[in-house]
Amino acid sequence: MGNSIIITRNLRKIYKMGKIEFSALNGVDLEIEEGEFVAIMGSSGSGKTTLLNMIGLLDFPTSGKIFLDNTDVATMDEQQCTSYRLKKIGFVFQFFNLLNELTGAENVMLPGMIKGNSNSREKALELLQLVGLKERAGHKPSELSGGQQQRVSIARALINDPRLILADEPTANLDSNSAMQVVNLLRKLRNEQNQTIVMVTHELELGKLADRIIWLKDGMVIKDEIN
Amino acid sequence: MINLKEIKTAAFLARKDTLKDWKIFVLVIVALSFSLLNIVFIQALMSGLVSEIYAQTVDLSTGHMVIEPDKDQEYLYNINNLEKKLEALSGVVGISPRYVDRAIIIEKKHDKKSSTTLIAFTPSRENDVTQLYKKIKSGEFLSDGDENEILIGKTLADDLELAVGDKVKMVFSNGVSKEFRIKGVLDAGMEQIDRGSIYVTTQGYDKFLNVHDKASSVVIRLADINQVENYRYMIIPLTRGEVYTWKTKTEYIQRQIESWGMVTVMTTLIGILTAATAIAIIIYINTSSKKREIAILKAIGGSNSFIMTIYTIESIIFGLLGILFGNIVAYGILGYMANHPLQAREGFQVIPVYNLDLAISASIILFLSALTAGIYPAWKAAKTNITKTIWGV
Repeated sequence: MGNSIIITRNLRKIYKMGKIEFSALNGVDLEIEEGEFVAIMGSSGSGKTTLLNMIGLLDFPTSGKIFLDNTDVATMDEQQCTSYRLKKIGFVFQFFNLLNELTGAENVMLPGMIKGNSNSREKALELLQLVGLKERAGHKPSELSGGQQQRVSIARALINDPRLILADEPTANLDSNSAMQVVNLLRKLRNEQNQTIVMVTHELELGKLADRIIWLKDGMVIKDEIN
Repeated sequence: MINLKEIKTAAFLARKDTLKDWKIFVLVIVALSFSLLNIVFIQALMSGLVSEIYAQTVDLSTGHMVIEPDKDQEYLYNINNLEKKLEALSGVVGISPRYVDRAIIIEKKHDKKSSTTLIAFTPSRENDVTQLYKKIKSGEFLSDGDENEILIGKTLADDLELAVGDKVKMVFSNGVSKEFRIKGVLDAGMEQIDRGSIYVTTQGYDKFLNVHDKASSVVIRLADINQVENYRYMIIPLTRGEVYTWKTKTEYIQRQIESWGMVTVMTTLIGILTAATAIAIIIYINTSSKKREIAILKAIGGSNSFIMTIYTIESIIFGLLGILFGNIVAYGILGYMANHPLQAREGFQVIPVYNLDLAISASIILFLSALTAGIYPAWKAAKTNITKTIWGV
């Protein structure tokens, strides 16, 4: 398996809606190396987000295998998945998903606090400085712009030094300028901290900033290209 | 298993979340407080009512103890001797022999009549045992030397259109009749006195019905009402009559109260159930609206037990504060009412009696309701599929 941090084998996901079955993933095989910045692209309904959810252990495949860091995650129970997510995966969501009652700094430090880190506040401030928002640390999400909220969300994803960052359309709700800032920030993180980043996007211009683009269609990988 | 650091983080989030929306926070606390107040206050009022009924019966009718003739006897005899024996008992602070008869009172002007109970006593002795003298509404209480005066209850006086100073004719059970002047009108707050009794002095009564050295009953007041059972055993050998305590003499009231008791228990249970349901609904809705937050917490690595801990702590905060404020408000209102009793009707004041056991039970039940109401939706939400919840926003 080399130094592949993500490997999927014949990954399938079938959603059942009453009597109707919908196949979201139809046997996805892929490998992502440690330190890669990969964009997953495809049209709506191609299975991008479903694939990301499987890799992020937020959802379980109907069949197939997923290896994260050489661990067969299909054998993990929910508690183990949660623990794995906490320690090794950082999430960046399309809708930022910050907790409104917390300040920027508190949102960032939260996963660190859950993990039990004692220096979460100091680290949160460092990360906010890294994403250029240290001066906004005491502001609540409602007092921040969309781009700023997403940068807070990226800082939150980094608090536990995850080996893998999964970003689901992190720029979908941002203007082009903010979107470019966010993707450049992800690139910077990869370059400086050697984190593996998997980003779902439907914007080719942003996808081209990644090292590699994996194209999906109808739940299958149809193209895998190096930029 | 959740560790101490996770509990601290959960407490931090619970505090933030609880104080996020002041309106909800205040609503839940007020709802809990008022639910508790409702239960505690109604019970306190009922207890106060019952206490007042007992107190009135003791203070106006039975005293602490009553000696009555055997069933086959009409009177107690050798009363002077009995009185001396009773006076010799330390702790006996008042003894009043009474004579009870049936009589007809006739208002002469309109020839209105009413059958009534006639009670004769020596006022100075009666005042040592009961507080009937405090219940004069108009006119004066009887003095020992009054021979041609009576006291009449307010309701009876109203029915017969009588007032202080009016003259009435009394026809006694032996057929003798005599004219009396109304010296005072009583407002005791007890139907038995206000509607059904007329009082004369023993001296006046003895003039036409020889009651010398005998009595229908002897009422006794003790220095300590809690010693009635001990004194009962001390008095039994002193008399051939039956010795009753105020408790046995009020058994008929107790039976009535027991039947209200069932109603009160049902009312309290329904009150607790209603309150618990209301609290459960408010907290349930409050927690159910947090699905998105719960999904976010799960996505970033919060375990189910961590999430449950947050909402358990929130429910504990709500429950404790609601119960604390409820008890403070209840205690405050009841404290105020101790100095400003509820005037149920003229002559009948109710001071609510705080029932600590009930307050504790109601507090525990409401606290558990708040806890269950908070934990159940959190548990349900924690089981929800994260992706559906987050991406369903």
